[in-house]
Amino acid sequence: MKLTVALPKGRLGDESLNVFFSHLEKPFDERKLFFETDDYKILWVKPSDVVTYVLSGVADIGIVGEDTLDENNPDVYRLKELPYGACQLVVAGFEKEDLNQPGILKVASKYPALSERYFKAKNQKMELIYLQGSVELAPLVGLADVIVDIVETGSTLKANGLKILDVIQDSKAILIANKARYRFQKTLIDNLMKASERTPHA
Amino acid sequence: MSTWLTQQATQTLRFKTLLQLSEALGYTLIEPPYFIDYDDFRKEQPLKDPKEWIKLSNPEGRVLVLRPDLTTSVMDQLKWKTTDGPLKVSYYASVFFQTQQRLESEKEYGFEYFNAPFKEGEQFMVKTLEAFNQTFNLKLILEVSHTDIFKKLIRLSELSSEDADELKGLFKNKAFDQLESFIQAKKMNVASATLLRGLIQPQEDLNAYETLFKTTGFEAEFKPVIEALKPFETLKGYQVIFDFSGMSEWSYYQGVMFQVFEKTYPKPLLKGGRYQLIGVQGEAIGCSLLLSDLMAVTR
Repeated sequence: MKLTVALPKGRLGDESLNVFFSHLEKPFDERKLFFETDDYKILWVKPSDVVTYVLSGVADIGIVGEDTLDENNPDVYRLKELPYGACQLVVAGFEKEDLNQPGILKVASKYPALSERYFKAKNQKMELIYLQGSVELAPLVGLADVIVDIVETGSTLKANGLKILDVIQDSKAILIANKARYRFQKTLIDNLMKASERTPHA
Repeated sequence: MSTWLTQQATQTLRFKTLLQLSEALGYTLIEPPYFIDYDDFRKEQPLKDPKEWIKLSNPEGRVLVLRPDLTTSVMDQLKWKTTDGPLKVSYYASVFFQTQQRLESEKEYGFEYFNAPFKEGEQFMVKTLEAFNQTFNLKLILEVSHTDIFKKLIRLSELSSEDADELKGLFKNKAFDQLESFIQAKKMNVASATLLRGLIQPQEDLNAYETLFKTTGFEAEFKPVIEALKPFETLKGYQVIFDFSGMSEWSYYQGVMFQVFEKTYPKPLLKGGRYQLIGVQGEAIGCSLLLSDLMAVTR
């Protein structure tokens, strides 16, 4: 039986393809949503949907950011931390913004659970504004005081006059597996993990 | 016939097949109570999320919960009875849970063997599982674990409760790489490190674990666990995997725990194990499955 892999569209997916499937001939039609070889079926999905594909068992394994896993805490195996896709989950805003204030802090984020956990630990009251994209815009237009978001290089923050006010956690790319599918596909998954260790990383 | 009617007819057929199977094995069908005491249930299941439960209060102010789990409900009924010998019961009933929109229910079928003597209970459960697969003829994997493995591991490794929680997370997630970092960070001795590395790996027979316990000097410590797992090693019709990273969300298991997986299905088809609840005489071993899962794999 083929091993079905959910890869996130974008840089993380491209790097994963290089590390895990460097031996495969890559498809060059970017509009294709999946491609198959004798042993694998690769699905290109939206990064936030990788967990859904793996949890449902449509994909046996997938690659996803640690931040997404910690936010949703899905019941999957976290088989391997990968040596790429490193970034940080941070609180960012204007430099003058105080993270310990007597009032309620307005926080824009696509990570409600992690944001609430962080501010609860700081005893800071907060109001969460859930956004799905362009979170950096929120403090610029007065929708929120600060944001909680993933930062790789910080260039978008800098370009918009925002600064990292605190680092909540480091985040890496993680290889995850559906718990039931892992039992049936263990050999193929183990082989894939071993092969990835032999691939020189960028 | 409409889809709904077809589903109802299939559900009834599957129920009847399970009933015939359990009667042939000597189980008697009982009806578990709908409501059980909320405080008792909370004590018995501290790990479960009460937000999903449906609570009601009677005129005297006693708070009851509409059965979120059948095993707890069956045990609650049977703990008022004195049974001198073994008692084999099966049940077919709904479990209830609250979603944001409404009250939902799922039909569950279970097999319980009360006052089951050690080993005899395990052997009978093996017989039940074999009969189950002979009836439905599926391609199944049985994954077996034991609650004492992790408890003993924590004690022998002399880990703090904080470190034990971290280790539990690593085992649960099969985080092989992070286990190595954990071993380094805690400066574990060679025997404990070898034990951890060996126990996180699933195996198809018990020989690998027996060798592991022997080489690390913990053979006597883990002997009762191996004895409890042995009957499952020869289970016919299944691929058997021993995997000690499997953790149950139900806290009543004490001893052998198992899950059955079907090749095309993304979650366990059947779950069970040995357990004991507060106030119950003797121990029990049992297993249950959701009818919706069985219908999906036998479609």
